[in-house]
Amino acid sequence: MESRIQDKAETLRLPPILDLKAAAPLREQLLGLRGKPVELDGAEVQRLGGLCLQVLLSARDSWHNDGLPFSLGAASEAFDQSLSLFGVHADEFQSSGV
Amino acid sequence: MSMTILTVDDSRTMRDMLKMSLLRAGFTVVQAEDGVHGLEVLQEQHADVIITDINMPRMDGFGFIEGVRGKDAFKATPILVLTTEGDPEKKARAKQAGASGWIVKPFNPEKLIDAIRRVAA
Amino acid sequence: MDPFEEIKDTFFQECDEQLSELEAGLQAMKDGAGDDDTVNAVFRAVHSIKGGAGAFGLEDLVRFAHTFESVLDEVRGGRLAADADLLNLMLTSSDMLSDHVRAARGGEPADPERSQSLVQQLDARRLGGAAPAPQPAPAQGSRPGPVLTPGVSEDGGIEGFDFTPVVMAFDVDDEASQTEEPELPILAEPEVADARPSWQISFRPKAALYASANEPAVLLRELGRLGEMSVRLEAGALPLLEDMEPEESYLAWSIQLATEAGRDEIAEIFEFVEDDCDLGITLIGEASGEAEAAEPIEAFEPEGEFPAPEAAPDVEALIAMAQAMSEPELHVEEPAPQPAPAAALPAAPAAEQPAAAEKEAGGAAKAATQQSAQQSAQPTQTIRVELERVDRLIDLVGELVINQAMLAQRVFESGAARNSDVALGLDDLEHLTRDIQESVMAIRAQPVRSVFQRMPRLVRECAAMTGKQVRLEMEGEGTEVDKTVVERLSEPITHMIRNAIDHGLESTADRVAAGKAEEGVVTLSARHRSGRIVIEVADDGKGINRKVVRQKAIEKGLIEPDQQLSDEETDNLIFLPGFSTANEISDLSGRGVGMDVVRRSIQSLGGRIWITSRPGYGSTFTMSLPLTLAVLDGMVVTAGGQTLVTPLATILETLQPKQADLRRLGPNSWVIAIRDTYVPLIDVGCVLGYRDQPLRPGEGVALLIEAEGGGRAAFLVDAIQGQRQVVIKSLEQNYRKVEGIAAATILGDGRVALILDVDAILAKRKHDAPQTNTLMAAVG
Repeated sequence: MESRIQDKAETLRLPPILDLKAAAPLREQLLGLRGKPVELDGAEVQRLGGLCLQVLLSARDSWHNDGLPFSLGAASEAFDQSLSLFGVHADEFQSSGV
Repeated sequence: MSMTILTVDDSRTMRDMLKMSLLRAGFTVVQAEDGVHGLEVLQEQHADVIITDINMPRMDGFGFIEGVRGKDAFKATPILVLTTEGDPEKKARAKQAGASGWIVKPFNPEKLIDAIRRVAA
Repeated sequence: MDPFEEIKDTFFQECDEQLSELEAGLQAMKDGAGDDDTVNAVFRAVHSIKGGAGAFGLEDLVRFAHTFESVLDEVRGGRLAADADLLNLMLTSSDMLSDHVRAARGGEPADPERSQSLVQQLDARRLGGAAPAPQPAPAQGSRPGPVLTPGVSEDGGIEGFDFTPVVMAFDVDDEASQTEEPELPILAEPEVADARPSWQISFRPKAALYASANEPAVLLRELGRLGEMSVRLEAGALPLLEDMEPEESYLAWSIQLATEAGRDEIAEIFEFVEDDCDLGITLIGEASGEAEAAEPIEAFEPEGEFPAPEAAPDVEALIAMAQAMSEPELHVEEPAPQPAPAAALPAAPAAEQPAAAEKEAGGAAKAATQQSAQQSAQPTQTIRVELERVDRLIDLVGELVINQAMLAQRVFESGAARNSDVALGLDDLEHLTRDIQESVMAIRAQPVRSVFQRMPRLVRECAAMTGKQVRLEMEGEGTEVDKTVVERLSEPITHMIRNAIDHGLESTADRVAAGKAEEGVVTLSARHRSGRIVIEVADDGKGINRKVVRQKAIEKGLIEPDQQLSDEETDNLIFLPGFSTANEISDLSGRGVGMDVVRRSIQSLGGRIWITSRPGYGSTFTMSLPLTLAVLDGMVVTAGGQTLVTPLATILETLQPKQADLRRLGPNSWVIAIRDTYVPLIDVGCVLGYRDQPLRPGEGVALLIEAEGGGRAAFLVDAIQGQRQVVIKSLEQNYRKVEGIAAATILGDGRVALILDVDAILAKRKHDAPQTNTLMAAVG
């Protein structure tokens, strides 16, 4: 939890199961955080599916477009492994803002 | 925590076989005898994967799959259908109803576990 | 038992159930009572047998079931009309299927020629009447691979069944070798340095892939299991958060995989999703030490050699040949509105409940008519228990009942008031004990269905042999009786049915001449009555020719030429030993083929059999058997110093005989006037030999009883002690069989009491005093 991002980044705690059912709610949650720096907390994640990956990646791009920080804080081993499996490196997940 | 598999089949023989194979592979098994029963079981029991027969009394496999997919809680639950035929139409219809994959009977335990592995997160 | 054998056991049990479903369904169709549900159930039965047989590698069974199923599938799809000929063929085929099941079970082998001939006939019907040229019967013995029915494969009308020979080859010692938790894959390093062939896999899921609960993460994980993998994500199509549909698919992957696995193995992972994604699998180099970086994904066009996942060419060919299958309805169907005899009773699962069945056994005699469609209506969980354990439990509960009764008696004798706490507590205990007993005995009870379901075949065979048209109607297949009784019912029922067809029913010509329907009807029914099971076999034939029977009996010296017999008694002469033998009876219009043998076997079960007949209208065999171990509600009485129990269900009323109502008929024969009729007065103490001198008229108490055979009598006893629930103990087990006594019980005070066999006493008395017959007939 070393990457303290500027001032008051909102932490979004990700649920354990990020599957098909979780994609739409996750998107809604993130939309609600637009305009604010966001740090994801993936400590509890047990499973990450393709649809939620899309949402997270799209969010990263969207934040990047806005020039706002978007980062991954804590991540469970499962979360890390899932990201690598999808060909995503955890550090690609950061958008430090401009 | 082992995965829980719900098997839905009107044939006791088939249920027993599935159960034996699945228990040996370390899964927890819940059983139902037809589609209606399967939906009832799902109201009380969690299942990580569902295996269902197609030809059953009261509610067949297609009806059951649609019933399962109709519930939000089970939208992401993999469903495998048991089929004896290499019938593309039947598979297609099961897929259309929401099945994730299929197991061709007669199956051997490895095929069964393989099929589960290919759908189970 | 090893689990494999246990499942095989289950399979054969299930085969029996399916065969009876099949037969019932085909029969219903033949009777015009079948609907879509019936056809589906029939199809399912054969399908299910085939499925299980396949799993056990029972090839002959699979092959026959397959041919049969193919025809049923045509019928189910409305492409083939189930006319009378076809239904007869299918009924015969269901018998053959049953033979194959028996053979697979290790029994007598099925007749190969007959089987082959049926296969040809079935195929001929399925292919539209053009019978294929007769094929030589296939060589017997095991053949390893799939065998399509000869002459059919070119036609293209048959679905292939891929027959994997043994399937349940479990090594019992084998530890659960499969993953308990699917492991996450070992991730490949970006640089693949591997001597194995290298594959380039491009994978772009569609939304449908996610919608069917498939998951790229799982597929990638499985790919990773095959070897060393490097994955590149292609996210170029991903819109911004506001513009995206959360369940649409935007990502794609390009995977480089170094593996020993072949294309088929790779493709197999994507088998379920092949229509739900764009997939390319390309071999990019044998042992390419330095794999290049994965190509960006552009070309997702299926390549020329786009692999058909999993499918070996022959399977593919078979699939291509597979016939179009019509599917059953998607939703739960409403019960058929037609007044079909086999129509489901949708909301009456209670009739199946053991408790309800047992209650009937207790006395509320209502025929438990089970409809076959109901069998599978309510899913129930089952466990398998050794019979010995159940029997031990039944014995113990029997002891408990006796103990409880003894305790109650002692408390009563100790002077406790009826409404004292102790007495009330004992009442509760009694109810509880009774409930336990009923539940325990229900465990052993089984429906007679297993015996009944063998009869349609018997009827068909007898009908074919005699050239008569016969329809079998069955009622009360669900009636429950103790397992041991069920097992021994088959033989007498078989005998009675055979007799009904051989000798009861007229020839078709005679029926027509008599103005009857060409088709004779044999009815087999079971019901509970007065704590016994009553089984009837009735025919609508010509009835017994009493003149001939009487003549025969006189010739045989069984009755005196001038002996007066009621019609009922004449009819029942056929059960006398020596009345007839099989070869003599053929010229008789009546019955008698070894009927004394049937009677003996029923008597050995503690049962009775009798016949009633109406000339021109038919005959009915009735047999009444105990539900062994049943609880009996009895009236405890004293006669000749003995304590006896009369089944409560047989007692119509109790009365104090008045001198004025009695009339003497012979030295020891009396009748008593009850309202408008006279009934015989039977001194129970005398009849059973407990007393030499009869009670003087006016002494004692009379029980007006009605026997199962319908006869009435007044039983004269010394005194009535009261009503009690008693446990039936088999007499034969404890001591010899006594005429007039059905069983014994142990009363609360520890005394043994005998339970009266009401029918037998009535019969005994008739036999002892035949001179009253005329009167009896007039009365009864």
